[in-house]
Amino acid sequence: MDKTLEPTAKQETAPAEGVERTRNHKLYLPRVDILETKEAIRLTAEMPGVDTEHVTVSLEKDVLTIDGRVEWPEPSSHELLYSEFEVGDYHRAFSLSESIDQARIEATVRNGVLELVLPKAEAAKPRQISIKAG
Amino acid sequence: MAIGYQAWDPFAELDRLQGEINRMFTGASPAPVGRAGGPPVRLYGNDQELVLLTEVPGLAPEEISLAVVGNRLTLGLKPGAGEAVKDATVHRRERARRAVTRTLELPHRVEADRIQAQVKNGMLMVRLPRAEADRPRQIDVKAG
Repeated sequence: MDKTLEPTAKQETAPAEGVERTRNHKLYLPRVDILETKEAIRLTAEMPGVDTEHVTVSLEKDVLTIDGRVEWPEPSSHELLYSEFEVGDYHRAFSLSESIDQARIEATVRNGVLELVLPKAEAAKPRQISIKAG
Repeated sequence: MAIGYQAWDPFAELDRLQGEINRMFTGASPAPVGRAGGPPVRLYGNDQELVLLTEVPGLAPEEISLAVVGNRLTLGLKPGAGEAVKDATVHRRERARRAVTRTLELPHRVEADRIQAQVKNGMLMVRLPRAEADRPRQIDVKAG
């Protein structure tokens, strides 16, 4: 996995190598929380300005990629007076060490936050092995 | 053809930069009051109103508070506890979960009664109409 983001300003990222962007927006790393339980890995990612239709989640060869496309209502008849952050799309990739049951992945977007539940595949779950007396 | 005439003007870019620097030092930009921090903002404006934009991912409308006194706007964010996940190992915790407040000094007074605030997909947009008494007025100049 890549390094943890510092809780400061938004951090810009670059598209994958060999990929060129067609949108004139900057690309940022979404801030994430990742929790793991026995059953699943839960990931929440902050993507303000992104709605349900503009999120893409893909899992390929243990690499989880999340993309969010900002649909942004920039005030058009106004002049920008002051700016402390910029608005842009989101992209981040993680390599997963656990195998995931792809068919049961759940993704929801609410208030600009993506919530992902990645259930572990049966084979990856810890198993209780009962030991019998000989 | 006027194409050749509309050449790139390097001075226009310099003027824009100069304007931004001037705003920085003349206090026309909304300087944060009190301790620094709080949510980063963008501020737009025209003759009629100011528009403030800030990112509030994951916050419900009731977790956001706004108050205006004169030309000072106070923005408060108070995220709820969120749902607790039992027996979980934390791999990453990058999202901020603390309550923050921030007071901004606006370039002019606003009509407190007509302020509109809307939160959509984790973006908060506040429209602050310029106070009637504070609007620039055109004065007719008569020949003597």
